[in-house]
Amino acid sequence: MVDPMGTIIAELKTANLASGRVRGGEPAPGDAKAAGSFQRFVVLTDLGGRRYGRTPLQQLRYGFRCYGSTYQDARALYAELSDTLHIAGPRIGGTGVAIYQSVDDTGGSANRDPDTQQPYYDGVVELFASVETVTI
Amino acid sequence: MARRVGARTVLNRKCLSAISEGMAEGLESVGATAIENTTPPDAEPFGEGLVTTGDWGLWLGTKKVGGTATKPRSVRLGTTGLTLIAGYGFPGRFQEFGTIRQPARPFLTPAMLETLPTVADHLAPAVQARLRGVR
Repeated sequence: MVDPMGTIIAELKTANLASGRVRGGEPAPGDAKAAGSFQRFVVLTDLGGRRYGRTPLQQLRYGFRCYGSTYQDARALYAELSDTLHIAGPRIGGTGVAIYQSVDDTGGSANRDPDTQQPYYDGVVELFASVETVTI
Repeated sequence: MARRVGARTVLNRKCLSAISEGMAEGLESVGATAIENTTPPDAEPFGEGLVTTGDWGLWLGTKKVGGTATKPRSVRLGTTGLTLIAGYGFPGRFQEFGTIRQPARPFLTPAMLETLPTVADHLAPAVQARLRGVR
């Protein structure tokens, strides 16, 4: 069974979200700055999913956190992420992972990170993807 | 000339009420099961804080008909239909999604994904039991 997260991260980096600072799981060293020097970055987390019984499909949910320098900046970054992923249609990633559809499932909501006080927008993207790689 | 045979259909309103009541009962069971299926991360002092904030509530239109949860401010209820809301209090989102220094520890989404496919198993018996009592 393949993991589409790498494909999603590659799509967001190709769209030049947050100057390529799109991470899976946790921020990279240097992403989180002190107050006054906040910068944009995106973190995707795997919330799990289910595998269909009779078709080679999986339905996955990914949490996203779009950090910005201000709430407005975080909101704008979330909007870019949503525009990139919401109803993006069927596509095949570079590693052969086939994604049938991705949906911004919850919209975004504003928060402030309890560790650094940096504003961010979070939400959930739902994905329908194949469980096997596809070659054309 | 052939006689016209007429047929009159009477709407059994008691059945409609029984179906709604059965669905409400079934959804209460879904909400309770979803919260029971969660395993929120626990830390010292054990058994306090996040683990105690799981709750659910059921609304018929804008009127609360079941559960003990308060409606989140951001939720807009429709004027008709049943709405089930189940979840955890404020700090739960930081465990679910993570923070800059803390990795995500999803506990609500896996429980939801485990419970959703069984919704019909909760609704069907409740609705059937209500319909059995209707003539």
